[in-house]
Amino acid sequence: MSSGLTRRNFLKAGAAVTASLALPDFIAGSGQSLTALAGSRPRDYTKIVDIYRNKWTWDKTVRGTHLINCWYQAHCAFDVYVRDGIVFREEQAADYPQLNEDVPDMNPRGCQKGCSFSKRMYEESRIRYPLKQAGERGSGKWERVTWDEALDDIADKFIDVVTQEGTDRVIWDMGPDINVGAANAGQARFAQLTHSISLDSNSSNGDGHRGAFETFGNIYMDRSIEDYFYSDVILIWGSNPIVTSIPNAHFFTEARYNGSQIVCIAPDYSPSAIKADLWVPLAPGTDAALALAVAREIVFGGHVNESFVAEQTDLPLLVRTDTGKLLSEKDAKGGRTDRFTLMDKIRGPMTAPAKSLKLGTLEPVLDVDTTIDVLGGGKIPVRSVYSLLKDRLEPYTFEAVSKMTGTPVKVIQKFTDLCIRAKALSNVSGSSMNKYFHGNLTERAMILIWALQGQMGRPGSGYSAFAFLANDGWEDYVSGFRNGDRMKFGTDIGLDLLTDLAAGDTAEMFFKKLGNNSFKDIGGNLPIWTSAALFWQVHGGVMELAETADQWLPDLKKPVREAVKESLDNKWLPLQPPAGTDPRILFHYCSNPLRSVRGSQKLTEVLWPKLKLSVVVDFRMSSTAQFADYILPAAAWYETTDHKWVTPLVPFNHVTNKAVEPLGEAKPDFWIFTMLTKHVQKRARERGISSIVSHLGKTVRLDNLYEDMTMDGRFLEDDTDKAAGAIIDASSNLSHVSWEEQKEKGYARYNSIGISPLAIGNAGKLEEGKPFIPLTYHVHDKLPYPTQSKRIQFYLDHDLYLEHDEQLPTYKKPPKIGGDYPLMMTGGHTRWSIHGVWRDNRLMNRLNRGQPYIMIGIKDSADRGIADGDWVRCHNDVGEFEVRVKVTHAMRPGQAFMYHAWENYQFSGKGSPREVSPSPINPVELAGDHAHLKVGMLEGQPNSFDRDTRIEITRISGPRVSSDTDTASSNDAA
Amino acid sequence: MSNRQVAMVIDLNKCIGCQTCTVACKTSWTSGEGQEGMWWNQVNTAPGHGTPKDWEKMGGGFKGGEPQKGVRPAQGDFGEGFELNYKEALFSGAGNEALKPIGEEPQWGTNWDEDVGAGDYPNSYFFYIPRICNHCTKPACMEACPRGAISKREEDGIVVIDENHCRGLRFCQSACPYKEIYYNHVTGHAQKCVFCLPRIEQGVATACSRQCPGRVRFLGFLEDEDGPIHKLVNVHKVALGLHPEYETEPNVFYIPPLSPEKFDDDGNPTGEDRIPLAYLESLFGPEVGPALERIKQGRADKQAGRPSDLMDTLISKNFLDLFGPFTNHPREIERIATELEREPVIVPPSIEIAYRGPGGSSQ
Repeated sequence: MSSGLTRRNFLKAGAAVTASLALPDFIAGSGQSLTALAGSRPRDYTKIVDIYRNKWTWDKTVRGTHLINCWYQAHCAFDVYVRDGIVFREEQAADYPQLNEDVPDMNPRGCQKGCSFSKRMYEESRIRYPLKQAGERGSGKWERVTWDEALDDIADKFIDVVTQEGTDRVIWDMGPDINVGAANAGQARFAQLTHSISLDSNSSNGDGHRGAFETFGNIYMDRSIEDYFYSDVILIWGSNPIVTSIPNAHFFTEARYNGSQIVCIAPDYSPSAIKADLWVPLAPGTDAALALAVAREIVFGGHVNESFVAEQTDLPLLVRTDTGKLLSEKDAKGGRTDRFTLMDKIRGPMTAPAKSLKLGTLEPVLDVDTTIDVLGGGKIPVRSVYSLLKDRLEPYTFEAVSKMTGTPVKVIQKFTDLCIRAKALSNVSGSSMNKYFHGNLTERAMILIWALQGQMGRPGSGYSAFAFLANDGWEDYVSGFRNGDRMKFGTDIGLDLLTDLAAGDTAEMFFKKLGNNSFKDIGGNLPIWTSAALFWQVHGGVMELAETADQWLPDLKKPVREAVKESLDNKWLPLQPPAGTDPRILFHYCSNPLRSVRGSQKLTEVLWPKLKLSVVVDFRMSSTAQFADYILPAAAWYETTDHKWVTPLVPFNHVTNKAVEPLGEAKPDFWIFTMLTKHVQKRARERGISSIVSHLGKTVRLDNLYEDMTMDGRFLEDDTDKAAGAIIDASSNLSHVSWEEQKEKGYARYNSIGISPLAIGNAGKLEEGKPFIPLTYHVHDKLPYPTQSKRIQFYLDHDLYLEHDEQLPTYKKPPKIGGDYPLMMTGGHTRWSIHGVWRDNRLMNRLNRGQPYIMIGIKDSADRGIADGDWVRCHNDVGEFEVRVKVTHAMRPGQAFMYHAWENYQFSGKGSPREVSPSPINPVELAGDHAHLKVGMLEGQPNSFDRDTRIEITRISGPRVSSDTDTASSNDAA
Repeated sequence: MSNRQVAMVIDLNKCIGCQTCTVACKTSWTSGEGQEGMWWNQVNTAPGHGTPKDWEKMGGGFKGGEPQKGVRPAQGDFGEGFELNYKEALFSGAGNEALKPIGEEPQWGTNWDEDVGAGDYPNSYFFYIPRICNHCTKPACMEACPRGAISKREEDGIVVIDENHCRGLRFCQSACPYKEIYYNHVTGHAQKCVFCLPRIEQGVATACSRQCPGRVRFLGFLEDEDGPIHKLVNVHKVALGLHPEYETEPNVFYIPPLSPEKFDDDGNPTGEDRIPLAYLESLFGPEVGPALERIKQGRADKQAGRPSDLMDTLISKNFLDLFGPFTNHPREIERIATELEREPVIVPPSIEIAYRGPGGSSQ
């Protein structure tokens, strides 16, 4: 049966790089018939099986997970397989219980990134020991140092800054590894004890759900993933779950088999669109118009759920049309300024209920346009919010909206029909809308569709915004368990909170106010937060990119710089440290602002020179780590024991157990922060410094910092596991399962939403055997909403909103941010990484071109003479970057698409994608000094935008082949 | 030849192109030497060139029972298992060199045309199609191997390359019409999907099946009348082989994909699927149209409140119902010891950075 070739010259013959029909191949008859072969071949393949059995061998498995913010996808229970002290692979545990008989179970969860962390954790980009920058920042002149050397130097610089300049000069920038477990309890406790500032980066990332905040006074609302099985119409709108909700996506495809209809609204034929029944294409940034068309049809087509609207929304409330303000009880008949007026059918103007939404005998009239007599004589003209809304909606006919969006009338009609005929209408929430400049208006318009129809608070029905669920014991740990009683804890930080509680505030309102207080100069018993978006804009100089914003934003009333100053001077939005006071130390806790902040080119130019110290705590070399003074190696997630927050989508606390020792000298985050306090204490004592007065005017002890941090030795640096367990024990919503049991099982289901400010807004009951439905405390139990009107609020009478005609949802054209260029650069979260964490991983790169690329459509590429794989320059008035092109049939003409999170170091030549997105602040988001439009935890802050970015794309060259002379520089762009 | 035949059904309505299956296989079997460019499971965007590039034009298989001339793909057609320049890009100063594949700039790779698709916007269309060795009933690779190194197991029909007998002649690569055989340039063997033999023999589902978060794959014995494979292939007739005209009788079947309705020239919805039927027929044969109709009928039944065994099977509320008899948990089985020496887990060498001693160098 020999082919007559020796192996060596056969290989030579076959060594041609391209496949060719000339090579020897499958020759008929060279073998024999299958039957003959069956008889003559050795049947002993035991040895082959042994080879493979031998590959699939391990010493132990450990329950593990990934302590990373995959957010809507979080989390997934894994078995980590260890062989010879190395993690050789992982596999999903896939043993979650089925919620009930109606719905698919959750198994197996997981994604390709989690399933390859075993490879990622050993790669070259891992930081194995503390590194110090010996040259200029960014020069790559790294020196290895010992932990003692690094921590001593950092401690000394820390002491210098807080003694000479102030405690508010020390900034903590937290990234996607924050877990609300031991790891960032260490960081938060350090910050709280030393009165240093923590950056709230939710809106800076562009995830702020501003429109939901403006409407509900709260962004936290999402459902359990099984709930989609009860929804007959599912809208994928502003999200791409097929790409970004991998472990949950099967619920959508299975719901579809179960008869649910799926509609995907997106400018491009997205990967999520392929699973829909109807894809609604529209020009990017025009979603508000589409939503208002549906809202208009609901109102004028007689589909309003009047009883819901009368009870739960501000639509029956009266507005004084002379001032544009909601008619307060005080103005109407004397009384409070924080109570408002509705028109009862029989009794006329009445104060709307506030302590409960129950109407009792009240019968509000929805459509009011009249004058009323007021206190002190005289009449004022009033209209109900509903009446004003009708005027607002009037222009959004299908024909008019078709022109605004580029969507054909019949498609809009079909979409509207589905929204109206749905028995249970749901949406798949994502973070896309938040990244458009007018994303807040868009989200408010979308919410109208649900609120007008009363599609809320029951299985399969409701609007999902921001998803977060956490244990509520964490804050107690961070405060050192000093305050066993939460109410007492409250007295330390503002008696007004307790007074309000007594006067009828709900627990939700109490915790929102607590969150708000933690941004202000109060206490010192709370962590001190400041808005990251404002911080980067003001201290980081990003605002300088918006000097020409008036060219992009026709509506702008004053330069962004002045709008920001007005807000800061009036203390509408607090900023710490204050403008003009330079930050001096920046700790990046697994965060990567040089990659992620829009306009990041400003940070190294404006902010880094102010810093005396930049320290990165991470397990990999990131774009930001390249510019640090120190990199402190953090343990990877299979190298420590801890747990992590999730979302109501998957309401299970997830635990990772230490499977192997940390690589090199890496240490768990908790160890790092505790040891830092040990070195600060040591150096403070050696330098004769005992305490300082913080910027809040309170004493901060430096010479006892380690004792305080460890709670007098109760949680030492090696006690990550113990601290993690203590947090669970202190939680009202997780302590029903012991920490030991949770470690063994890998997860435990929450038994309630709990009272953490990071979750309480979900406002619903988490029950056994039922999916979680948010907002039922409002919809069914009639608890008031944490808004000015105590209702779902569409009318915002803050002067900034009135000035910009945004008191009601409206459609505003997406501004041409970056200049008047023909392509709109949108984007989305990538499939191939969670933030930057897997961007440098071999496997992900081999499966996805190995280099960054921008996607454009057939026509736009043809018009520019660009072919797939070409190098192009993307540019606008603000910046530029070079990148390769992927030409796709799915992209809308006029749209360019840049997936996110490629590291700056993956870009050749000048620039990175963040540099073309200056992200001017939306002036209405600077509002404060309002009942609910004010800063809060992860909400109420100015957002960052990039989806309206306009660019032009110019071809530089074809693929860069080394022998090719056609590798023109960017100067030679055609 | 085989008494029993394991088979797989892959539901293209549920595949989301995440490549978790690809990675599950990779960490199980192809993380050894010479395997950097191997992806025994891959997921391609269809329409597209596929992996290896344009494999559907590379011949092989049978026609009218006669073996067909085939082409042997080169590694570049699959995509190189490139390395990245970590030291230069990450540790030598920002802006020094971009992190990128070492060597020639890639012009092709596995999954290169992800999400590219076909069609004129807004009638763009695409779907994802995972592929593995089909463990065919009439394996062209087995017939082609002059060394007899390929055989089909009697107990389960898994087609296996015996590396002890393989001399790397690579006739199998030409013969396989699906181009699912790789060549290991370091060891000199052909290698391919082993249908997770060590797992299957222990009643554990294949890694690509069990680890798929989309719950896309059914497993079972083809002849098992109680199992999901028989039900989908023979009873409901919604699961079809890929390129049946290759005549190798593949044992991996596909549920064809539905798609959102297409628009007419004015952009109005037409009620028709946007993936052209002719394209699906070119992949799955003439039965694909009726199969799609049956799936749609199942959905309609559910919407009307009528029962549908087909929909219930495809939904498979209980995860383990996907896997026929292969429901054991991998961490809980008794592993079979071999006499072979353990293979080391390969980890990349670290980048060394010098310690300058106490005091370091001055800043």
